[in-house]
Amino acid sequence: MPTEKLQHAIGAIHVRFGGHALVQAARLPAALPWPTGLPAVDRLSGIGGLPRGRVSVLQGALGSGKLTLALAMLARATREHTHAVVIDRRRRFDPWIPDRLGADLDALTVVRPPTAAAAGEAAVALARAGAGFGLVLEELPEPALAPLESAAARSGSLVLVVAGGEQRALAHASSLTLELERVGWVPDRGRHVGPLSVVRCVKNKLAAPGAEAELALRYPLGPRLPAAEWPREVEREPAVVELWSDESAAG
Amino acid sequence: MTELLDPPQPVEVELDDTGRPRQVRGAPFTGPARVVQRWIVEVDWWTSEPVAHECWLVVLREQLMCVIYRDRAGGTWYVERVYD
Amino acid sequence: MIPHLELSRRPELIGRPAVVDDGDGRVLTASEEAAAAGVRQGHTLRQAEALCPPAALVGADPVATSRLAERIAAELSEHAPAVEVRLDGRAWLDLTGIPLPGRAIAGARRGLRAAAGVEPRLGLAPGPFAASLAAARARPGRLLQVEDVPAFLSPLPVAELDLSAEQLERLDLLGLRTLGAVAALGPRQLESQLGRAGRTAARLARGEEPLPLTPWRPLIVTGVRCQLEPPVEDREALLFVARRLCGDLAEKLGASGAGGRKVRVRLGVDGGAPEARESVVRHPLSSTQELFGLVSSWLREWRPAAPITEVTIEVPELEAAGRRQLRLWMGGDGSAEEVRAALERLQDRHGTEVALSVRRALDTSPLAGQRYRLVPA
Repeated sequence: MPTEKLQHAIGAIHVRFGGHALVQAARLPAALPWPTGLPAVDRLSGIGGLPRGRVSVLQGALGSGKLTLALAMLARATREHTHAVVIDRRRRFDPWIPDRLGADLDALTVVRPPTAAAAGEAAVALARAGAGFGLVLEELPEPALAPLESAAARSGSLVLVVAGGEQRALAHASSLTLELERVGWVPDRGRHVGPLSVVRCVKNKLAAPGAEAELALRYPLGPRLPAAEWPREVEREPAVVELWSDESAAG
Repeated sequence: MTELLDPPQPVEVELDDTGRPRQVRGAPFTGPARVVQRWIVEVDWWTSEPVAHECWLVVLREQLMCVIYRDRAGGTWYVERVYD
Repeated sequence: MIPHLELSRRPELIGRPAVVDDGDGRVLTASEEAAAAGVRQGHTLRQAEALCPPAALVGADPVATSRLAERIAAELSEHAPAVEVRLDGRAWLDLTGIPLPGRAIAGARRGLRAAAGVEPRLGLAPGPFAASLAAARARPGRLLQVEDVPAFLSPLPVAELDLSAEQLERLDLLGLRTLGAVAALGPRQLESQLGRAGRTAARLARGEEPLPLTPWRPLIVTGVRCQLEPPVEDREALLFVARRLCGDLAEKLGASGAGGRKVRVRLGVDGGAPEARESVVRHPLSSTQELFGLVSSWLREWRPAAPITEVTIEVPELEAAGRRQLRLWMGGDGSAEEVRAALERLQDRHGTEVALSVRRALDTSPLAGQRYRLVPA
């Protein structure tokens, strides 16, 4: 029980408290990179991967291939982290794709919040707790974004948000935004099997933006798919990446 | 990449002369369809709840690849999967 | 380009003649309206008053102005990764490599307009020197783009070069009155006349842009200080203050994802020399508990010579706090517990179905719905 004298002293401090001086200023070291396993994509950030402890955004129109790319990254993340989380409010996440891409399903938790606000809170809570990789499958409400940024910075969590269009608040919170645009189709024996998309780095807090890569994404088509190997890159200008190495996509 | 619609969304599908889907109606999937692939799924036929789907992989509006199917039992068409 | 930040941060001065006192009885800067009456930087306040009697006189506040510069820089860096902001109201964005420069320019314009309350003047050129001269010549809210830099620079007066009054006089004596003339003379000759500054001046005049931007980096608070009035002798009170400071510092570090392994505590002692203690620990500290854990152990043993007038807690060398997580990922995961706990809390709130694990069911089934089962984690 504090003595009266102490109370008084604390009271006096209360009154005069405040006004911190900026004692020193320093530059925060750069974010550590997380290699995605797709060198063409890793090059886009300028640091050799997605930034740990930061929010990154994959955006593009429906059909641009952004979700494919995100799930490929998720699959790798499950093999490297104890906890990889997917925030799937719309309940459309299909574990089949990451599984086909070699994911460690034991490391994966699918979070299905009932509302958008709950999705925001869940993302922040899991980033704060230090979940190694968090994939958010839709836009989060604005109030969650700044806390998400600091939670990720504090714990080193890598947060990847998949967004349909450009959202101003999300753009602000993002350290790296990659935009996908489908520019054609990938043909295979007379059939179109996936989008040919350009990935552009449109925002980059880590290095100069503006880098591009071309990705040939093959969707898993038909009812069955043989096990896929991890993505293999085809080196040519511009860099083309095939996410699927299997030749027969027919069921 | 692929979003699984669960439950699948019912849509109306117009066929061409050869029986292939030509047009889909049902927002947000309304538009002309170009067929890429077709297959049949028949499972659990020995149970009381057999599943028989006639599946089509189509490109809608030259933009969006998706899987639609016709439930052979009821004849209704659905969008099952959207590729992104 | 917007008015000098001492003016920009005072919206009540927009459109009025105003003069900023640099604290030494001289004019630091004058608003456009006062400048039109002839007031210049360096004039005494008396001269300024004589030239422009209705001018409002305001004192410079470098701290507040620096804060405004920080805010502007933070806003501009949303549009381009390399920005520089100066107190005189000039700001630069490096648009190299930006895929949509028009958008960046529009964003910068919005940001500057919001900061200054007036339309900024914008200049676009291959380098910073030409760009700022272009901006100075643009109309408010408009962009002046320079493509042929030497042609643009040539007729401009030598006063645009950052030279002292004597150096400018020297140029005048040499008959060099325009940038074109300086450019024609060349760096070698100018260096022999004016030294290094002359060399740089000639290169600038030629459009060579020898001076790159000094890109802004956000300031991270690395220390907090509290002054105690009256001075404190009571150890419990001191611990109370230290705990508050640790909390504030942790919040600021946390927001940037920073931490540090070196911690320093400095106590200002009434009538005596300050006492300090510092130590380097194994992994970066960043939370209140971590910082206070260390600081409080020192304070409990400390016997300062006299009552304490000031407490400073610093983390002078920053590292990414998340580094610690890396080691945890390799095995014996401490954060796994926290994530599990976070998932459990979500389940308590929203039901067990909110967090699910993936189990393989009939994973070769052609029916997508049959391949996996999602069960509560």
